[in-house]
Amino acid sequence: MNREQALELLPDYSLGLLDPAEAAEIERLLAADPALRAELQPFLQAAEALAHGYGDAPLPAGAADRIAAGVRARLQPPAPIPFPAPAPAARTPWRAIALASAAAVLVLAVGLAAALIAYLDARDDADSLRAQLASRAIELPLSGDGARGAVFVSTDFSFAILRIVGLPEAPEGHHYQIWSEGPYGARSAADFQGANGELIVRLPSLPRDMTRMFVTLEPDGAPGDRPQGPEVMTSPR
Amino acid sequence: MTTHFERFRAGDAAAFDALVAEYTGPAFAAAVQVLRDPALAEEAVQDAFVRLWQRGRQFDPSRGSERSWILAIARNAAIDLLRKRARALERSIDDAPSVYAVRDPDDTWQTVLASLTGERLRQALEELPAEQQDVIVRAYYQGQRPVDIARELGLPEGTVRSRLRLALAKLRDTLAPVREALEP
Repeated sequence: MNREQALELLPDYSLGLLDPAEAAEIERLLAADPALRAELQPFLQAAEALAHGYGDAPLPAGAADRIAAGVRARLQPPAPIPFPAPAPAARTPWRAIALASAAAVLVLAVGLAAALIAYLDARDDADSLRAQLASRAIELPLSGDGARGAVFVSTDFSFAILRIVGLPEAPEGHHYQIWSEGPYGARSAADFQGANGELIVRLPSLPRDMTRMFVTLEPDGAPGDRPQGPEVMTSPR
Repeated sequence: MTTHFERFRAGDAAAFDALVAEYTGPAFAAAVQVLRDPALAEEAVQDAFVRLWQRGRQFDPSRGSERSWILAIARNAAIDLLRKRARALERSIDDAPSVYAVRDPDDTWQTVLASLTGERLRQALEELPAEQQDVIVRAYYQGQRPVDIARELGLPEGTVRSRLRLALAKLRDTLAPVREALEP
Protein backbone atom coordinates (compact mmCIF):
# COMPACT_ATOMS: atom_id res chain seq x y z
CA MET A 1 0.00 0.00 0.00
CA ASN A 2 1.35 3.42 -0.90
CA ARG A 3 0.52 6.80 0.61
CA GLU A 4 -2.16 7.65 -1.94
CA GLN A 5 -3.94 4.38 -1.33
CA ALA A 6 -3.72 4.95 2.41
CA LEU A 7 -5.21 8.43 2.02
CA GLU A 8 -8.11 6.91 0.12
CA LEU A 9 -8.75 4.39 2.89
CA LEU A 10 -8.56 6.77 5.88
CA PRO A 11 -12.38 7.08 6.22
CA ASP A 12 -12.75 3.28 6.14
CA TYR A 13 -9.98 2.99 8.70
CA SER A 14 -11.52 5.57 11.02
CA LEU A 15 -14.83 3.67 10.90
CA GLY A 16 -13.14 0.35 11.67
CA LEU A 17 -14.17 -1.20 8.37
CA LEU A 18 -10.79 -2.50 7.18
CA ASP A 19 -9.64 -6.05 7.66
CA PRO A 20 -6.73 -6.53 10.08
CA ALA A 21 -4.05 -6.75 7.37
CA GLU A 22 -5.15 -3.50 5.73
CA ALA A 23 -5.46 -1.76 9.10
CA ALA A 24 -1.97 -2.90 10.08
CA GLU A 25 -0.56 -1.61 6.80
CA ILE A 26 -2.16 1.80 7.32
CA GLU A 27 -0.88 1.93 10.88
CA ARG A 28 2.63 1.24 9.60
CA LEU A 29 2.36 4.20 7.22
CA LEU A 30 0.77 6.43 9.88
CA ALA A 31 3.61 5.73 12.28
CA ALA A 32 6.12 7.11 9.78
CA ASP A 33 4.09 9.97 8.31
CA PRO A 34 2.90 12.79 10.61
CA ALA A 35 1.08 14.53 7.73
CA LEU A 36 -0.93 11.41 6.99
CA ARG A 37 -1.68 11.13 10.66
CA ALA A 38 -2.92 14.72 10.70
CA GLU A 39 -5.24 13.92 7.77
CA LEU A 40 -6.72 11.12 9.81
CA GLN A 41 -7.58 13.06 12.97
CA PRO A 42 -10.79 14.80 11.76
CA PHE A 43 -12.14 11.47 10.51
CA LEU A 44 -11.38 9.82 13.83
CA GLN A 45 -13.03 12.65 15.71
CA ALA A 46 -16.19 12.38 13.60
CA ALA A 47 -16.22 8.60 13.96
CA GLU A 48 -15.90 8.92 17.71
CA ALA A 49 -18.84 11.33 17.79
CA LEU A 50 -20.97 8.76 15.95
CA ALA A 51 -20.89 6.54 19.05
CA HIS A 52 -23.31 9.04 20.60
CA GLY A 53 -25.94 8.41 17.95
CA TYR A 54 -27.15 4.92 18.81
CA GLY A 55 -30.92 4.82 19.15
CA ASP A 56 -32.71 3.27 22.07
CA ALA A 57 -32.99 -0.50 21.91
CA PRO A 58 -34.85 -1.94 24.89
CA LEU A 59 -33.25 -5.09 26.22
CA PRO A 60 -35.36 -8.23 25.78
CA ALA A 61 -36.69 -9.70 29.03
CA GLY A 62 -33.93 -11.43 30.97
CA ALA A 63 -31.21 -10.31 28.54
CA ALA A 64 -29.21 -8.36 31.11
CA ASP A 65 -29.05 -11.39 33.42
CA ARG A 66 -28.20 -13.77 30.57
CA ILE A 67 -25.43 -11.51 29.34
CA ALA A 68 -23.95 -11.00 32.81
CA ALA A 69 -24.07 -14.75 33.51
CA GLY A 70 -22.53 -15.55 30.13
CA VAL A 71 -19.71 -13.10 30.66
CA ARG A 72 -19.02 -14.42 34.16
CA ALA A 73 -18.88 -17.96 32.83
CA ARG A 74 -16.35 -17.01 30.19
CA LEU A 75 -14.01 -15.04 32.40
CA GLN A 76 -11.67 -15.79 35.18
CA PRO A 77 -11.92 -13.83 38.41
CA PRO A 78 -10.18 -10.52 37.63
CA ALA A 79 -7.69 -10.76 40.47
CA PRO A 80 -4.89 -13.31 40.35
CA ILE A 81 -5.72 -16.26 42.58
CA PRO A 82 -3.25 -16.91 45.39
CA PHE A 83 -1.85 -20.39 45.16
CA PRO A 84 -3.31 -22.50 47.97
CA ALA A 85 -1.56 -24.93 50.24
CA PRO A 86 -0.66 -28.29 48.67
CA ALA A 87 -3.61 -30.58 48.09
CA PRO A 88 -4.26 -33.43 50.52
CA ALA A 89 -2.39 -36.59 49.75
CA ALA A 90 -5.48 -38.68 49.02
CA ARG A 91 -6.19 -38.87 45.30
CA THR A 92 -9.62 -38.84 43.86
CA PRO A 93 -10.08 -40.59 40.51
CA TRP A 94 -10.26 -37.39 38.50
CA ARG A 95 -6.85 -36.39 39.80
CA ALA A 96 -5.34 -39.61 38.59
CA ILE A 97 -6.98 -39.11 35.21
CA ALA A 98 -5.75 -35.54 34.93
CA LEU A 99 -2.20 -36.47 35.80
CA ALA A 100 -2.17 -39.42 33.45
CA SER A 101 -3.68 -37.55 30.56
CA ALA A 102 -1.40 -34.54 30.93
CA ALA A 103 1.48 -36.96 30.86
CA ALA A 104 0.07 -38.67 27.79
CA VAL A 105 -0.03 -35.58 25.66
CA LEU A 106 2.81 -33.17 26.14
CA VAL A 107 4.37 -33.69 29.51
CA LEU A 108 7.43 -31.56 29.69
CA ALA A 109 7.12 -30.52 33.33
CA VAL A 110 5.16 -33.12 35.23
CA GLY A 111 5.35 -31.27 38.52
CA LEU A 112 3.13 -28.48 37.25
CA ALA A 113 0.21 -30.84 36.75
CA ALA A 114 -0.04 -31.09 40.55
CA ALA A 115 -0.17 -27.30 40.68
CA LEU A 116 -3.09 -27.33 38.29
CA ILE A 117 -4.93 -29.77 40.50
CA ALA A 118 -4.33 -27.63 43.56
CA TYR A 119 -5.58 -24.66 41.58
CA LEU A 120 -8.74 -26.49 40.67
CA ASP A 121 -9.30 -27.36 44.31
CA ALA A 122 -9.33 -23.65 45.16
CA ARG A 123 -11.97 -22.61 42.65
CA ASP A 124 -15.72 -22.28 43.04
CA ASP A 125 -16.28 -23.71 39.56
CA ALA A 126 -13.77 -26.50 40.11
CA ASP A 127 -16.20 -29.27 39.20
CA SER A 128 -16.89 -27.78 35.81
CA LEU A 129 -13.21 -27.19 35.08
CA ARG A 130 -12.33 -30.67 36.26
CA ALA A 131 -14.89 -32.17 33.95
CA GLN A 132 -13.38 -30.36 31.02
CA LEU A 133 -9.76 -30.97 31.93
CA ALA A 134 -10.01 -34.40 33.49
CA SER A 135 -10.11 -36.46 30.33
CA ARG A 136 -7.06 -34.93 28.66
CA ALA A 137 -5.10 -31.73 28.89
CA ILE A 138 -2.13 -30.40 26.97
CA GLU A 139 0.64 -28.97 29.08
CA LEU A 140 2.82 -26.40 27.38
CA PRO A 141 5.79 -25.29 29.50
CA LEU A 142 6.94 -21.68 29.52
CA SER A 143 10.29 -20.36 30.65
CA GLY A 144 12.13 -17.10 30.69
CA ASP A 145 14.69 -15.16 32.62
CA GLY A 146 14.10 -16.33 36.19
CA ALA A 147 10.45 -17.23 35.59
CA ARG A 148 8.80 -20.53 34.76
CA GLY A 149 5.30 -21.77 34.23
CA ALA A 150 2.96 -23.59 31.90
CA VAL A 151 -0.21 -23.25 29.94
CA PHE A 152 -2.68 -26.08 30.46
CA VAL A 153 -4.91 -26.27 27.41
CA SER A 154 -8.16 -28.24 27.37
CA THR A 155 -7.97 -30.60 24.41
CA ASP A 156 -10.98 -28.99 22.74
CA PHE A 157 -9.03 -25.72 23.04
CA SER A 158 -12.09 -24.04 24.56
CA PHE A 159 -10.11 -22.65 27.47
CA ALA A 160 -6.71 -22.81 29.12
CA ILE A 161 -5.05 -21.99 32.40
CA LEU A 162 -1.77 -20.12 32.65
CA ARG A 163 0.40 -20.60 35.70
CA ILE A 164 3.59 -18.62 36.19
CA VAL A 165 6.03 -18.45 39.07
CA GLY A 166 8.71 -15.82 39.51
CA LEU A 167 7.55 -13.18 37.05
CA PRO A 168 7.93 -9.81 38.81
CA GLU A 169 5.20 -7.20 38.66
CA ALA A 170 5.26 -5.26 35.40
CA PRO A 171 7.05 -1.89 35.66
CA GLU A 172 4.93 1.25 35.94
CA GLY A 173 3.13 1.94 32.67
CA HIS A 174 3.51 -1.63 31.41
CA HIS A 175 1.68 -4.93 31.48
CA TYR A 176 2.37 -8.45 30.36
CA GLN A 177 0.59 -10.03 27.42
CA ILE A 178 0.45 -13.71 26.48
CA TRP A 179 0.22 -14.67 22.82
CA SER A 180 -0.32 -17.76 20.77
CA GLU A 181 1.59 -18.10 17.52
CA GLY A 182 0.77 -20.14 14.46
CA PRO A 183 0.18 -19.84 10.71
CA TYR A 184 -2.09 -16.89 11.51
CA GLY A 185 0.81 -14.95 13.10
CA ALA A 186 0.63 -13.88 16.75
CA ARG A 187 -2.72 -13.54 18.50
CA SER A 188 -3.25 -12.15 21.99
CA ALA A 189 -4.78 -14.46 24.60
CA ALA A 190 -4.85 -12.10 27.60
CA ASP A 191 -2.95 -9.37 29.35
CA PHE A 192 -2.05 -9.38 33.01
CA GLN A 193 0.17 -7.88 35.65
CA GLY A 194 2.91 -10.04 37.12
CA ALA A 195 3.06 -11.13 40.73
CA ASN A 196 6.00 -11.54 43.02
CA GLY A 197 4.90 -15.05 43.91
CA GLU A 198 2.65 -17.19 41.81
CA LEU A 199 0.12 -16.12 39.21
CA ILE A 200 -2.73 -18.16 37.75
CA VAL A 201 -4.84 -16.75 34.94
CA ARG A 202 -7.67 -18.39 33.03
CA LEU A 203 -7.33 -17.90 29.27
CA PRO A 204 -10.10 -17.94 26.66
CA SER A 205 -10.20 -20.37 23.74
CA LEU A 206 -6.95 -20.77 21.78
CA PRO A 207 -6.43 -21.50 18.08
CA ARG A 208 -6.06 -25.21 17.36
CA ASP A 209 -3.24 -24.58 14.92
CA MET A 210 -1.03 -22.67 17.35
CA THR A 211 2.56 -23.81 17.51
CA ARG A 212 3.95 -21.71 20.35
CA MET A 213 2.95 -19.44 23.21
CA PHE A 214 4.98 -16.56 24.56
CA VAL A 215 4.75 -13.64 26.98
CA THR A 216 5.80 -10.08 26.20
CA LEU A 217 6.14 -6.94 28.29
CA GLU A 218 4.00 -4.28 26.61
CA PRO A 219 3.62 -0.54 27.26
CA ASP A 220 0.12 0.43 28.46
CA GLY A 221 -1.77 1.98 25.58
CA ALA A 222 -0.12 -0.21 22.94
CA PRO A 223 -2.61 -1.38 20.28
CA GLY A 224 -2.43 -4.91 21.65
CA ASP A 225 -3.12 -6.63 18.35
CA ARG A 226 0.51 -7.54 17.76
CA PRO A 227 3.53 -7.88 20.05
CA GLN A 228 5.60 -4.72 20.38
CA GLY A 229 7.57 -5.29 23.57
CA PRO A 230 10.30 -7.80 24.39
CA GLU A 231 9.60 -11.48 24.88
CA VAL A 232 10.08 -12.48 28.50
CA MET A 233 8.88 -16.08 28.40
CA THR A 234 8.29 -18.65 25.68
CA SER A 235 7.32 -22.27 25.17
CA PRO A 236 9.81 -24.44 23.24
CA ARG A 237 10.05 -23.49 19.59
CA MET B 1 -15.99 10.97 40.08
CA THR B 2 -14.31 7.63 39.47
CA THR B 3 -16.13 5.47 36.92
CA HIS B 4 -16.61 1.72 37.08
CA PHE B 5 -14.24 1.41 34.15
CA GLU B 6 -11.53 3.41 35.92
CA ARG B 7 -11.95 1.26 39.01
CA PHE B 8 -11.74 -1.91 36.92
CA ARG B 9 -8.61 -0.68 35.18
CA ALA B 10 -7.11 0.08 38.57
CA GLY B 11 -7.59 -3.56 39.56
CA ASP B 12 -10.91 -3.42 41.43
CA ALA B 13 -12.43 -6.81 40.57
CA ALA B 14 -15.91 -5.94 41.80
CA ALA B 15 -16.07 -2.99 39.42
CA PHE B 16 -16.21 -5.25 36.37
CA ASP B 17 -19.68 -6.56 37.24
CA ALA B 18 -20.85 -2.99 37.72
CA LEU B 19 -19.25 -2.03 34.41
CA VAL B 20 -21.12 -4.86 32.65
CA ALA B 21 -24.38 -3.72 34.24
CA GLU B 22 -23.72 -0.09 33.25
CA TYR B 23 -22.90 -0.77 29.61
CA THR B 24 -25.12 -3.76 28.77
CA GLY B 25 -27.91 -1.50 27.52
CA PRO B 26 -25.79 0.82 25.33
CA ALA B 27 -23.68 -2.10 24.05
CA PHE B 28 -26.84 -4.02 23.14
CA ALA B 29 -28.17 -0.97 21.28
CA ALA B 30 -24.92 -0.76 19.30
CA ALA B 31 -24.88 -4.50 18.54
CA VAL B 32 -28.53 -4.88 17.59
CA GLN B 33 -28.23 -1.98 15.17
CA VAL B 34 -25.59 -3.93 13.27
CA LEU B 35 -27.07 -7.42 13.63
CA ARG B 36 -30.81 -6.67 13.69
CA ASP B 37 -31.32 -9.80 15.72
CA PRO B 38 -31.71 -9.53 19.50
CA ALA B 39 -30.41 -13.04 20.21
CA LEU B 40 -27.29 -12.49 18.12
CA ALA B 41 -26.84 -9.07 19.70
CA GLU B 42 -26.79 -10.68 23.15
CA GLU B 43 -24.03 -13.00 21.93
CA ALA B 44 -22.08 -10.06 20.54
CA VAL B 45 -22.41 -8.13 23.80
CA GLN B 46 -21.01 -11.10 25.69
CA ASP B 47 -18.10 -11.23 23.24
CA ALA B 48 -17.58 -7.50 23.72
CA PHE B 49 -17.34 -7.73 27.49
CA VAL B 50 -14.89 -10.63 27.26
CA ARG B 51 -12.77 -8.46 24.94
CA LEU B 52 -13.14 -5.56 27.35
CA TRP B 53 -11.89 -7.74 30.17
CA GLN B 54 -8.89 -8.84 28.09
CA ARG B 55 -8.02 -5.39 26.75
CA GLY B 56 -9.30 -2.95 29.34
CA ARG B 57 -5.84 -2.02 30.54
CA GLN B 58 -4.90 -0.88 27.06
CA PHE B 59 -7.41 1.94 27.08
CA ASP B 60 -5.70 5.33 27.00
CA PRO B 61 -8.09 8.05 28.21
CA SER B 62 -6.02 10.77 26.53
CA ARG B 63 -6.92 9.32 23.11
CA GLY B 64 -10.64 8.87 23.40
CA SER B 65 -13.65 8.65 25.63
CA GLU B 66 -14.46 5.58 27.67
CA ARG B 67 -17.96 5.38 26.23
CA SER B 68 -16.82 5.61 22.61
CA TRP B 69 -14.14 2.99 23.17
CA ILE B 70 -16.46 0.52 24.85
CA LEU B 71 -19.21 1.00 22.27
CA ALA B 72 -16.63 0.59 19.50
CA ILE B 73 -15.73 -2.78 21.02
CA ALA B 74 -19.41 -3.75 21.05
CA ARG B 75 -19.82 -2.61 17.46
CA ASN B 76 -16.68 -4.49 16.38
CA ALA B 77 -17.91 -7.65 18.10
CA ALA B 78 -21.23 -7.34 16.27
CA ILE B 79 -19.57 -6.75 12.90
CA ASP B 80 -17.28 -9.69 13.55
CA LEU B 81 -20.24 -11.93 14.28
CA LEU B 82 -22.09 -10.66 11.22
CA ARG B 83 -19.15 -11.33 8.92
CA LYS B 84 -18.40 -14.72 10.42
CA ARG B 85 -21.98 -15.76 9.82
CA ALA B 86 -21.67 -14.57 6.26
CA ARG B 87 -18.46 -16.61 6.00
CA ALA B 88 -16.84 -13.51 4.62
CA LEU B 89 -14.16 -13.18 7.25
CA GLU B 90 -11.77 -15.84 8.36
CA ARG B 91 -9.93 -13.72 10.87
CA SER B 92 -11.39 -11.69 13.64
CA ILE B 93 -11.32 -7.92 13.33
CA ASP B 94 -9.56 -6.11 16.15
CA ASP B 95 -10.53 -7.23 19.60
CA ALA B 96 -10.21 -3.67 20.70
CA PRO B 97 -10.34 -0.65 18.42
CA SER B 98 -6.72 0.03 17.57
CA VAL B 99 -7.68 3.27 15.81
CA TYR B 100 -7.55 4.93 19.20
CA ALA B 101 -3.84 4.25 19.37
CA VAL B 102 -3.23 6.58 16.41
CA ARG B 103 -5.62 9.22 17.64
CA ASP B 104 -3.80 12.32 18.81
CA PRO B 105 -4.81 13.48 22.28
CA ASP B 106 -7.20 16.44 22.04
CA ASP B 107 -8.74 17.58 25.32
CA THR B 108 -11.03 20.11 23.64
CA TRP B 109 -12.55 17.47 21.42
CA GLN B 110 -13.06 15.26 24.46
CA THR B 111 -14.98 18.12 26.05
CA VAL B 112 -17.10 18.39 22.89
CA LEU B 113 -17.88 14.68 23.10
CA ALA B 114 -18.64 14.85 26.79
CA SER B 115 -21.36 17.40 26.15
CA LEU B 116 -22.61 15.78 22.94
CA THR B 117 -26.08 14.31 23.25
CA GLY B 118 -27.65 11.68 21.05
CA GLU B 119 -30.20 14.22 19.94
CA ARG B 120 -27.53 16.72 18.86
CA LEU B 121 -25.60 14.03 16.98
CA ARG B 122 -28.72 12.83 15.17
CA GLN B 123 -29.51 16.45 14.32
CA ALA B 124 -26.00 16.82 12.86
CA LEU B 125 -26.54 13.67 10.82
CA GLU B 126 -29.81 15.02 9.48
CA GLU B 127 -28.00 18.13 8.30
CA LEU B 128 -25.96 15.98 5.93
CA PRO B 129 -27.17 15.56 2.35
CA ALA B 130 -29.39 12.47 2.18
CA GLU B 131 -26.93 10.42 0.12
CA GLN B 132 -24.12 11.11 2.61
CA GLN B 133 -26.37 10.37 5.56
CA ASP B 134 -27.29 7.04 3.98
CA VAL B 135 -23.71 5.86 3.51
CA ILE B 136 -22.61 6.92 6.98
CA VAL B 137 -25.53 5.09 8.59
CA ARG B 138 -24.82 1.99 6.55
CA ALA B 139 -21.07 2.11 7.23
CA TYR B 140 -21.05 3.03 10.89
CA TYR B 141 -24.30 1.79 12.38
CA GLN B 142 -24.69 -1.30 10.20
CA GLY B 143 -21.02 -2.15 9.73
CA GLN B 144 -21.26 -2.38 5.93
CA ARG B 145 -18.06 -2.02 3.91
CA PRO B 146 -17.95 0.44 1.01
CA VAL B 147 -17.82 -2.42 -1.47
CA ASP B 148 -21.06 -3.85 -0.04
CA ILE B 149 -22.75 -0.45 0.08
CA ALA B 150 -21.75 0.16 -3.53
CA ARG B 151 -23.20 -3.18 -4.58
CA GLU B 152 -26.50 -2.55 -2.79
CA LEU B 153 -26.88 0.98 -4.10
CA GLY B 154 -25.60 0.21 -7.59
CA LEU B 155 -22.89 2.83 -7.31
CA PRO B 156 -19.16 2.80 -8.06
CA GLU B 157 -17.17 2.00 -4.92
CA GLY B 158 -15.23 5.24 -5.38
CA THR B 159 -18.46 7.21 -5.14
CA VAL B 160 -19.34 5.56 -1.86
CA ARG B 161 -15.88 6.28 -0.46
CA SER B 162 -16.13 9.88 -1.59
CA ARG B 163 -19.51 10.26 0.15
CA LEU B 164 -18.12 8.71 3.31
CA ARG B 165 -15.19 11.11 3.29
CA LEU B 166 -17.43 14.13 2.77
CA ALA B 167 -19.90 12.96 5.39
CA LEU B 168 -17.25 12.53 8.06
CA ALA B 169 -15.66 15.87 7.27
CA LYS B 170 -19.03 17.69 7.33
CA LEU B 171 -20.10 15.97 10.50
CA ARG B 172 -16.94 17.00 12.24
CA ASP B 173 -17.31 20.57 10.95
CA THR B 174 -20.93 20.69 12.10
CA LEU B 175 -19.81 19.83 15.62
CA ALA B 176 -16.78 22.12 15.48
CA PRO B 177 -18.63 25.32 16.51
CA VAL B 178 -19.20 23.68 19.87
CA ARG B 179 -15.50 23.10 20.01
CA GLU B 180 -14.69 26.71 19.12
CA ALA B 181 -17.01 27.95 21.85
CA LEU B 182 -15.07 25.86 24.33
CA GLU B 183 -11.64 27.07 23.29
CA PRO B 184 -10.20 30.06 25.15
